[in-house]
Formats: sequence, C-alpha cells, structure tokens
Amino acid sequence: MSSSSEALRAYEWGRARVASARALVFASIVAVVSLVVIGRSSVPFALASFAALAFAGWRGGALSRGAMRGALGGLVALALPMSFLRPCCDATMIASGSCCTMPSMCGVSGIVLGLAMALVWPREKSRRDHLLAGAGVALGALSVASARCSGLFIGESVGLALGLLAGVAASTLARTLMSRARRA
Amino acid sequence: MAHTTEAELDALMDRLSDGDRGAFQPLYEALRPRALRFARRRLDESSAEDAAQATLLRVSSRASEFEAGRPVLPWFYAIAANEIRALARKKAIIEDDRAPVTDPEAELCDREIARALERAIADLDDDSAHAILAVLERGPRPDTAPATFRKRVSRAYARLRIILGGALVLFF
Repeated sequence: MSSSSEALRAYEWGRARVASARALVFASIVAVVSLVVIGRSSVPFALASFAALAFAGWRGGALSRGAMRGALGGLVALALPMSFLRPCCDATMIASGSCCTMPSMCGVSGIVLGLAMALVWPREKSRRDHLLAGAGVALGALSVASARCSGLFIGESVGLALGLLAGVAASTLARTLMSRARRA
Repeated sequence: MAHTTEAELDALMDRLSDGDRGAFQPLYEALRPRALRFARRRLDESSAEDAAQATLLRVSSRASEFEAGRPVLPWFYAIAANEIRALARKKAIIEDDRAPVTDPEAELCDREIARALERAIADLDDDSAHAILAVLERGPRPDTAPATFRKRVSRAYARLRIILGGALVLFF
C-alpha cells in the first residue's frame, strides 16, 4: 500500500471515529427522550439515529450539516404528544383500546415540521451542496422521528414520514429556486 | 511541484476537515516534503522517512478534529515535532538540536516553523507572550518576582500546547 493511500485510510478511520462519537451522544439523547415520551419499545429506534448521524458525519460537508439540523427537527417530531397526532383518541377510547387512526393528522404534522426545518437549513454555496443538505435534513429527521412510529399505527407512521419528506422536499426546492433566482 | 502557500494550505485543510476528499491529495503532497524536511533536521534519512510518514498518518487521522479557520502549519509542526520525538525515543536516536542551516530547503523549513511559532505566540495573552519571548531570549525579562515569572512561563507553555493542538516543542 502506498503511503498516500495509507494516510487516506487513516483519514477515513479518523472521520469515522469522530462521527461515531458525536452520533453516540445524539443517539443517547434520542434514546432518553423516546423513553420518557413514548416508552421502552421506542428505545431501539435510537440505533437508526446513531447509524444515520454516524454515516452523515463520516461523509461530512453539507450532508452532515443538514443531518444534524434534521435530527434536531426530528427531536421535535419525537416529542409531539399522542393527543396531537391522534386527536380523536380521548381518554375513554384509550381505556377501551379502540383509538381511531389519524394518518392525515400525522401527515400534516410532518409537513409542518418539514417546512419549519427550512428555518434552520444550512446555507450552502452550490446547488449540489444544497441538495445534499436537503438529503441530510431528511435523513436526520426521519432517523430520529422513526422512534415516534413505535407508538403509531403503520398508516400514521407512513403519514408522518411522508409528511416530513414532503415538507423537506418542498423547502429544498424553494430554497434552491430562490438561490438560483438570486444568482440570475 | 509548485510550492503551496500557507493560505492555500489553510484552505485545503478547511476543506478536508469538512469532509471534502478532493482536498486530501493536494494537501498530502504539500505537507509530505515539509514533514520530511523537518524530520531530516533532527533524524537520519531512514528515520526521517519513518517520522514523516508517522506525522502524515497522525495529521490525516486527526484532520476531522481540526478547527476550520485556524492556521494549519503550527498544528502540523507540533504534530511533526511530537512524532519525531516519539520516534527518536523509540529508536534511542540522539537528536541533533541545532543542525546548521546548510541549504535553501532547510532555510524554508526554518522560516515556516518560525512563522508558525510567531502565530501561536500572537494568540497568547500579553503576559504569556512576554514570558515566552523572554525564555526565547527575544525580549526583556518582565520585572516580576522569579516565582511569578516561572508561573507565567508554565501557564504560557500550557496555552501554547492548547494552541498547537497537543504537543509542545520549542523549535528554537
């Protein structure tokens, strides 16, 4: 192996080490929040946050910056109370175990969160970096918000995930168009 | 290969610490001769090669911890000095502290190290900077009690160590 490729390998390992350490700290926070807000069944979902953030941190650049902001947005989704995501579910229905499902409410929550993330979006110079940051935001948000799905029905989980993706995609598109218009 | 300026090195390191792999090769090619030149000042040829490679491995491994916006050379030379000392200790090589300057490459190396040290000293507070300059015999000794002066020097070393990112070696 040439000395330059050996150094490149050391660089990649160094990045992986730093990214894993940072992801571990954030995933621990996710685990604690989901344990408090949702319950024990949601804690394994913190592994998804760890994997996503470690990957994004290792790749670095716009993807990493986007993922960190997305993960923060995902924490908000994680903390959304069930009474908000499933408003038709009152105390009596919870007791009888016959709550209704509200995928549309989850979808709307996801869209609102996704659009809100546009406020904390990292400003990138190139269009490619802008799209990478968008992918990072989606990755970070979904990896953290996935823990919320452990307390939801499949339809609601899909609604929340699609809503988040739609919100993030809409803000990415809007910001890309705006930066292009500003350059023109 | 054309000589890479310090500003270009700083820009390359900023990109690399952010994850831009495209900056790796040019940075490696710019730092390798510096690491070799610096190591040759202290070690024999074969040990210098080893020390240069160990330096580049350490720099690469810690690149993502590098704080963007800081000058790269003080950090780089601190790592290089540390690796040279570690290797010298391991191989029980007696370092030649002040090899005479004999060629333009060595002069270039000396100038860069001097600038790196100047930048690090410039980041110190006034008391620490005056204490270090007095130790280097480049400034008057402050009019303080010997114990106070020793404390200042010790504090200045600690701060320089932080600024240089770990290892501290006084180059002169």
